Order: sequence, then C-alpha cells, then structure tokens
Amino acid sequence: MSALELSLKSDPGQRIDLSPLTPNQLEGKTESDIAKINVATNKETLNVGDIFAVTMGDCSQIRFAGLNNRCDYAGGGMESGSIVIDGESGVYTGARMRGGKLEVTGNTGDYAGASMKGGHLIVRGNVGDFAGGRHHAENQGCRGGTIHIHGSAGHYAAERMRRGIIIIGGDAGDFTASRIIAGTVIVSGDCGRFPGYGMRRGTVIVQSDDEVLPTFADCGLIDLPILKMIQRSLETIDAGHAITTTRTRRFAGDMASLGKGEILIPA
Amino acid sequence: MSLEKQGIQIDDTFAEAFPMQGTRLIITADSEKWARIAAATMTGFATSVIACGVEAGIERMVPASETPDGRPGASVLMFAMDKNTLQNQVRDRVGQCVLTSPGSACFSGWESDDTLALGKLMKYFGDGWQISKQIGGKRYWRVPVMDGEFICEETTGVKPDSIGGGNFFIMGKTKEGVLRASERAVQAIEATNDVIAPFPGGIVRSGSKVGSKYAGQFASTNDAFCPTLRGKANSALSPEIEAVLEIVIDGLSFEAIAQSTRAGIAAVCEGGTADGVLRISAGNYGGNLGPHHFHLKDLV
Repeated sequence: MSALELSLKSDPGQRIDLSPLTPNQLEGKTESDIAKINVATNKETLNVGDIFAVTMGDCSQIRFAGLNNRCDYAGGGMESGSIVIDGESGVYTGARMRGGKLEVTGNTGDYAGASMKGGHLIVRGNVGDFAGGRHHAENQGCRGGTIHIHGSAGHYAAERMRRGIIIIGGDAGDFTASRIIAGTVIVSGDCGRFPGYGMRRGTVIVQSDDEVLPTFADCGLIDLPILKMIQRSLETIDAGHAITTTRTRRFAGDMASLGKGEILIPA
Repeated sequence: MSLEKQGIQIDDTFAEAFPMQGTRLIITADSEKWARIAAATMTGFATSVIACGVEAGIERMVPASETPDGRPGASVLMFAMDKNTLQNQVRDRVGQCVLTSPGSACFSGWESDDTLALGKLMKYFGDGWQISKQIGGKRYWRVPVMDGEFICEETTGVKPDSIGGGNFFIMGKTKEGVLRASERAVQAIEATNDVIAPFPGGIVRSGSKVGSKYAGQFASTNDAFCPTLRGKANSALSPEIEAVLEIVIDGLSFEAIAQSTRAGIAAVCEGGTADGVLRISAGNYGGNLGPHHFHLKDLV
C-alpha cells in the first residue's frame, strides 16, 4: 500500500499546525475523517480538506508535498511510522517527536527536533536556530533519538540537550551545544563562536579550536575508542562518515559549569 | 548395555549436571594478544566453584568486526551457583584483571532483563572523573586510566538457567595416549558455541567425588577411577586402564553442552584405539542431585 499523500493546494493564509497529522494519530481514520482535521493556528477554522489534496494511503507512511516555511510542527510529537516532507517546512518540525522517522528533503525553520525524545529526524537542507534545542515551556532540549542535518544549522543548535546524537553535516552557528546536560553533537563544517558554552556533560565534536572558550581545559591529543563505538552506531543511520578518526584533541569543560563535558577536535 | 565406537567402549551411563547462573563478557584491547591476556588473567583460578567461587573460561576469540568498539576481543563465560556470588566474582575479576590490563575495555555479551552490575561498579574507580555515554540505548562508562580510558558497559545480562558440570571420562592404556585424545576432545569443544571447559587446558586429572572422610573437606579424589587403586573393591577400572582424564563442560544451555559433549566424544573416537583409548564414561551421583542428565548413548 502506498503512502498517504497530503499536497498543499493553496496558500493557507495563516501559519498552520501540522502536529495532528502523524501516523499514530491518523491510524484507523478514513479520508473524510482526515479532511476534517483542523490545522489552523488562529481563530478561523482551517481543515485539512480545505488546503490539502488528500490521496488516501497507508497512514503509517505520510508524504507531504508543497509545504512552505509557514507550515509548522510537521511530525510534531510523532511516535511511529515515517513522514517525508518533500520540500521545505516551517518551525518546530519534528518537535517533541518520540519515535519513527521524519525526513525533510529541503530546508526547515527554527526549533527542528526541539525537545524530541526519540526517533530519527533527517533534514537534507539547512535548519534554523535552536535545532534540537528547547521547546518552549521545556527545561531540556533533545532527550533522545538522532537528528541528522545534512546542511547547516543556525545558532544555539542542541541548546540544553540532554541525550541523543545531533549531526550537523555543514556549518553551525554560535553557541552550538550551549548549556547541554549530556548527549553528543558533531559539527562537520565550521562552527560559530563558543561551542559548548556552559555545558555540564556530553561530547561536542568540532573541526577547529578557534572558537573554544578559555573555560575549557586543553587535555591534549589522545586516542578514544569510544569514538569508534559512536561511529558504528552512526553507520546504522548512514552517518558513520561524521567521525573520521579516534585520535583527537580533547578539551574538558565547561569548567565554568560542571566541567564533565568535552569538546573533541579530530587530529 | 555399553556401546562400542571405533573399538572404544562407551559406557551406558550419563553425566549429571547442575543449574548455574551464567554470563558472557566481551573483553577487547588494542591487539588480540592483549585481549587474550586480559581474558586469560580474568579467568585464571576459575576451574571449579568448589574453591574458586566461579567457573570461567575463554569461549572464543572475537574478531574486531564483531566487537562493540571495533577492536579484537575475547568472549568469556562465567558461571556460579548463585547470582550474588556471580556478581561479586564479576566485580572482582573485571576490577582486578581487566581494568588493570593495558588498553582493555569490557562489554556485556549477553542480553537479558536480568542483569549484573558491571560499569555501574567499575565507574567508582574514576573517583568522580568518570563520564558515561549512551550509545544505541546502552550506557557505557568511561573511566580515566593512565593509558587513556577504560570503557565498560553499565551492566551485563544473566542467563539464570545455565548448566555446569557436563562431563565425560576418557580412559586408556597410557597417560600420554589419553592426554592426546583429551586434547583432541578439547579442541573440538572449543569449536562449539556457548560452552567452556574451565579446567587447565580444558582437562581434569583429579576428578572428584562429593564429600570426604575428613570433616570440612567438601570434595575428595574419585577413588573409583584412580588406577593406583584398581585392586580395591570399588574400583571402576579394569586392569589394562592406566590413566583416566575428565573433560568438564559448563554451558549456557542443555543443547550447547550436549552438542559440545557429542563433538568431544567424536573427536576422541576419531583416533580409534591408536592412542590406547579403551573406554569413555561419565560422572554422576545416581541421578539424585543434578536435574540435567546427559546420556552418552544419545551423544554418540
């Protein structure tokens, strides 16, 4: 059975909330049930059937097409199944997701994967600020799962992250992994100012020490077999190339915080 | 009614084995040499629960492609009579023999909800400098040591229905010939999975019986199988048998021990009587003590 397809047919005229359209919430629903779901974010009612062309299919696999950067919360809170967004999406894409696989083929807005607890978020393009960071009204950022950003990330990626792995294939903005509690963040491109600012525990891998804060203690070069283990786990999501060597320069910190974290720079 | 295979008499008897608590650990290092050294050190003085607390041995060497950290490793099996003892032995042996070995790391080799603390205890060696990392849903502890980091998985699984004490005796005309046949048997057993032969080189020369005439002695020599006592009334040996060696097998399942016993006996019989091997038997206590019975007639 092919995937359920939802193709945006007209400009909604407002930001829309796509969080009700996840595999776990659509399970057992008919096409007419789906068409009646309200996705408005203001007091006007805006049903799926008003703005989307619905091609019924397997609700555990959803494909969105034609979305724009005002289509928010795509895959928000999803627990299972898969969603593919063919093109771009708005803010909070994959926020609070708990399981399943969400793939965005284009760019996405701020707060992608914010406070997610599980599952696998893939963004083929770029993401805005606070990717994997804190959802509003949450104390912690990403608490599990993996976020693989093939492009670049804005500022404050992984802010206040607790667990999980975030891979940024391109460049990252300032304050990447700031105040993280734990977890692993890998930046393959250039990283902005002050990565790991205020981090308590966790691992941040960047390619240069240019922007590392002086509150990190340079522990020199060392071989860390744990990196091989992380690399192997990344191979299961086709991201093994993000770690190229187990030999690394290690900075312990942030000593202005708990100081049990580390910034690693591959040798 | 005994059987005969390749001219060797197979007694119509059975090995009597006991329930044990077992676990598997994967020990890795920068080279196979050092993985083996760490594993061998850890499984030293672990021949019998009679006085060692645990029975342990190297199950097999594990190629780097199969280990969690991509380095050469050794798979170790450990068996004890109860979970508490197994926990204490794992703690002491990993702490004193694996943690201390250059470049080592230690991982669980058995998945189960029933667990023993591993890195959960080893982390305290880090004196507060230890850090943990969750990878693939498992927690690993990274303890700073003088050559880098000791990586240790948080817990290892317990196999509560493991079995210890599978055995068979090889009897023949000469000590040298029986030893050669026993070595063939051990080699065949080493090629099977989920088992260890915990005694030196996998072979026991001092088979024991339960109890003794001396108070406080839990086990004593199996006099019925000692060739120097062949003239005694209870001897189980015929005059031409001058040596008896025993293979003891512990395993994670009944099937694993049965398969390895079958392989061991087949390896002995392959040599026929050329090494002077005359008879194969097994040790039991009349079937009243251990619930697991391995009948030799079913294994040849």
